[in-house]
Amino acid sequence: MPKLLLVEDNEMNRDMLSRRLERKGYEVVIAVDGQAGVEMAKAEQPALILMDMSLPVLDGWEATRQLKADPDTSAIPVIALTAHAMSGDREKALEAGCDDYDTKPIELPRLLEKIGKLLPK
Amino acid sequence: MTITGITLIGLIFSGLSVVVATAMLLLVFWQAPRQRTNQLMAAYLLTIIFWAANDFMLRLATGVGQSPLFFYYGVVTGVGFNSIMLLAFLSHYVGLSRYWWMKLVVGVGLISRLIISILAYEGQVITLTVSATGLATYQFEELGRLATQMTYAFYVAALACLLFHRTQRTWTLLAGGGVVFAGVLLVRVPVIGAYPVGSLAAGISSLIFARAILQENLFNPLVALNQSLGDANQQLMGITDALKASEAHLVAVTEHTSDAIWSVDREHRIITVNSSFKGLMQRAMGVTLDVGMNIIAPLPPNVQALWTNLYDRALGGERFSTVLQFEDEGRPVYFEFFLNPIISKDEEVTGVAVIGRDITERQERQEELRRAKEAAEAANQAKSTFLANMSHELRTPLNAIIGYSEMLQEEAEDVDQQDFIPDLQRIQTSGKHLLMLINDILDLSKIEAGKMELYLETFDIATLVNDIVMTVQPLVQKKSNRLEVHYPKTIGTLYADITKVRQALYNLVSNSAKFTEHGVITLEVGRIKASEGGPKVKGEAAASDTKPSSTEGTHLPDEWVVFRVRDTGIGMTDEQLSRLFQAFSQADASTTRRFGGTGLGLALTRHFCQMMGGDVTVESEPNVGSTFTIYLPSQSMTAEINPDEPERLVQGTVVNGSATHAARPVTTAQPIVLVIDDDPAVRTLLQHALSHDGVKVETAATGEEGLRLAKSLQPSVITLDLTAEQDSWGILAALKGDAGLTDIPVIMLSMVDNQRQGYAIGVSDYLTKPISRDRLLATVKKYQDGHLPGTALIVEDDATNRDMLRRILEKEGWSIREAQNGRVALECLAEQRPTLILLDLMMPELDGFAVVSELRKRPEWSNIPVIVVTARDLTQEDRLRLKGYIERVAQDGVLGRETWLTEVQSLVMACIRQPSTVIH
Repeated sequence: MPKLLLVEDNEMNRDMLSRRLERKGYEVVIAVDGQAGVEMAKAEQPALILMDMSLPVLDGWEATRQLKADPDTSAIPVIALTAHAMSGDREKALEAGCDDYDTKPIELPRLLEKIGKLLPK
Repeated sequence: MTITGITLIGLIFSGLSVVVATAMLLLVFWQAPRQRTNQLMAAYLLTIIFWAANDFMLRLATGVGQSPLFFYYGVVTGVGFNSIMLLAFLSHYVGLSRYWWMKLVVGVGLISRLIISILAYEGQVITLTVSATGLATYQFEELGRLATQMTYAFYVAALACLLFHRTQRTWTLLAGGGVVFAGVLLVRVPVIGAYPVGSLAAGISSLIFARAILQENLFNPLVALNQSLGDANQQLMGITDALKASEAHLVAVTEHTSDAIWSVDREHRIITVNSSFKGLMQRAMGVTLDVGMNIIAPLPPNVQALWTNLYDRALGGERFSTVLQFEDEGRPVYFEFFLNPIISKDEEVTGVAVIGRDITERQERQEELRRAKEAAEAANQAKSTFLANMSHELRTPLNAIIGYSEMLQEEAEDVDQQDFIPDLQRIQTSGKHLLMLINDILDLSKIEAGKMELYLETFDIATLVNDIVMTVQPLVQKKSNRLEVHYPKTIGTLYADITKVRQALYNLVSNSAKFTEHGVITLEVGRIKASEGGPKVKGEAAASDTKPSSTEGTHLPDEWVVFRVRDTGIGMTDEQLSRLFQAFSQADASTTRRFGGTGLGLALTRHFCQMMGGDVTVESEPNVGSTFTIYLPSQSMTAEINPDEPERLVQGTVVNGSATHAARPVTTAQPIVLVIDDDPAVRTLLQHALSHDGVKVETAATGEEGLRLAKSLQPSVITLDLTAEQDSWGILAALKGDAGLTDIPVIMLSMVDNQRQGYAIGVSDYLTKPISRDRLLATVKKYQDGHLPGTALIVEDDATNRDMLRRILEKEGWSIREAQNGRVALECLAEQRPTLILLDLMMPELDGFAVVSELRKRPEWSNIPVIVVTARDLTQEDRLRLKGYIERVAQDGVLGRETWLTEVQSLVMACIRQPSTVIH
């Protein structure tokens, strides 16, 4: 089962998305802020990271930058999750090194498709 | 025929009298023929001439033995008239002639004398008897005696007049009159009566009167004076009356006003006041003042100097008004004073007229208005902040509702609980609907705040259309409509903001679906060329209206993508059409009840289309259907701005794909300065000031025109107004974010204080955050000395950013000094002069602008290259903070107009002389 790391600070979003992904057969590990996300990625070596951008401690962009700068984690694909209202987040996410992005609220089929594309075959 | 001695003497005497009296007559007329006194004197002299001439003839007739009777009548008549004329003359002289009774006496005398004379000539008054010796004896009849007595009475009255008005000349006149009267009386004496003593005396009297005229110029000036005095008196009385009437008007005006009016003289003494004066002085300064008092001395000591100054200013000839604040029972009261110098005929200031007005109420109103305005502005600001926060706050729980209902549906399917699914679907659908409404409202408020931005990318039109069809299909089917979609296989791609195109199209199709039942909705997509008839639409019209120059340039989109949505629905009347694209307005109020909706969709659609350089149009007929058409340039390169919203920032940031720039003109040797300023006066000013030495100046009134010109002209330097209404930071970000423009130096400047003063900030370059390593290195390389990296001073309050900059630059061999705020930066500068400075604008303690203005003040620092680092996406708060910094710098480092121009010139020339500017 591919292991996904979900970095999300909102409890309900975290709960919802992790449960839905688990039901689709993924193993989901969780981090609640950017710093924890970076540490978790190193420790757990997930197949893919779903990264919220507005995170406490270390925001999603910075966390992604650090992940991509670290040879241990730079190969792990990162999908940025951005809020619809802040369209600017999207390009910033790509600049920070994210491999793809999706907007919240999450539409599960679309997200699953993006995950499927990025996961190592 | 012998002439006796007596006769001879009589002839000589009377002849002499005629001559003298005639001479005097001429004399009197020569002197002043129009003077009434002289005229009366002349009449008197005429009677003497008549009298003496008759006397002469009488003697002559007697001498030659003829009857002298006729001449005797003449003598008597002459004497009679003489007495009356003497009275008329003297009474006029003493001023009695103005009384009616005097006029009556003289008038009656003349008439009665005339009658008597006529009777005399008919022989009814005097009977003549000639004696044997030849002496004639005259016998007076009754009437004759009366006439003689009347004559005496007139003489007496005439002489008596002189008693009425005695002057030095009275005696002379009395003598003249007395001689005549004596002569007349002496005739009665028998012995003497034989001689012509009467006419002789008359001759003598005429001499006496004439002497008075000759020697003392007796009558003319005095009488003239008397008369003019009388006239003047009359006039004076008239003037006084007029003055009284006019004063009554003036008093009515000055008294019936609530303004206090008063005047003071040069010594500050109160000359006049009106009735409101005391009350006002009491209320304003608690003093009682009145006419005659010094207006300064009784005032409270704290205002004496002030008032002395005010009065002295007015006494110096200045006319002005001033508003002063006082306290009345602890409450502030305001008075406005108008001081006017009182200027005399010879142009001297003789005093000050003051009007004082209580304007407390007005001032309070203004204060209320100001407070209300501030409150409204604060409320508006609060609204914007609230909306921004609230949208996030609303979305978070809403997302949870949508997400969990979706999840529950999935779980219900998994555990095969089909009953729940429709209800869960309803929750999800309603949630999504609500989310959409919230997004619409947020979009609109963003547009209104000028914060809506475009993200342009190239996307496949067919994919987008299919996507939309999928989304609206349920809505279309709900009212038994059929959706037909037509587009050519080769429709290709569109370069625009996909989210906004999708939203605009979705709005139109869902709108049609909403207002159509059992009908057909058609969505057609096509391409047209402007050169082939173009879109005959507002898109082009709007573009050419706002920027006429764009029709000549290469930037009028030639190729357009057209989306047409046609329905067979209820349609709209012209009146409804006119309100169609307004926010919060649906075709009519009842529509809302029947069809629901916020009425925001079409307003947003139009805004989005216009932002992308296109437009949306509508044609409709009630009960037949409506056709909406969206025109979009196939390359939304230069996004158009809705002229209604000049503040909006359109950022042409490229996300995917690459922008094809317009062909650049052939590079000329002549350097070009591009002035971007919304103030036409400043544009003209700079155009004049900078156009010399072969420098060409181009101007742009708006940011997007500036961007367009910058692209097509590739100027050597751009000047940009920072405090303009439009978003200069957005323009700067766009300039610096465009690979083709990023190397053009930008000078930020502004004119303040109504074009009298300005300031300019010349920095070497700008970098936008997040910092791209390559951009940073390319930029610093431009400013390094020679081939070796030098020392860079990083002025940045954010430790992470500072660290990142340090790491990147150290790798390249730069030595780094760091400062976490402007104050520390200045300390570092004092220690060591760096090769260049990387400067964040927003910092605590001393901001970037303040650092720049400090640098410019020190000659040894002024040429250190400064690279300003700004965030690309400034929040509203950031903008306000930056504006605040600029305003403070502007106050601090503000330059006079001429100095400012010189400064701008030198900054511009410095940029032009820097050939190191790399053009990509």
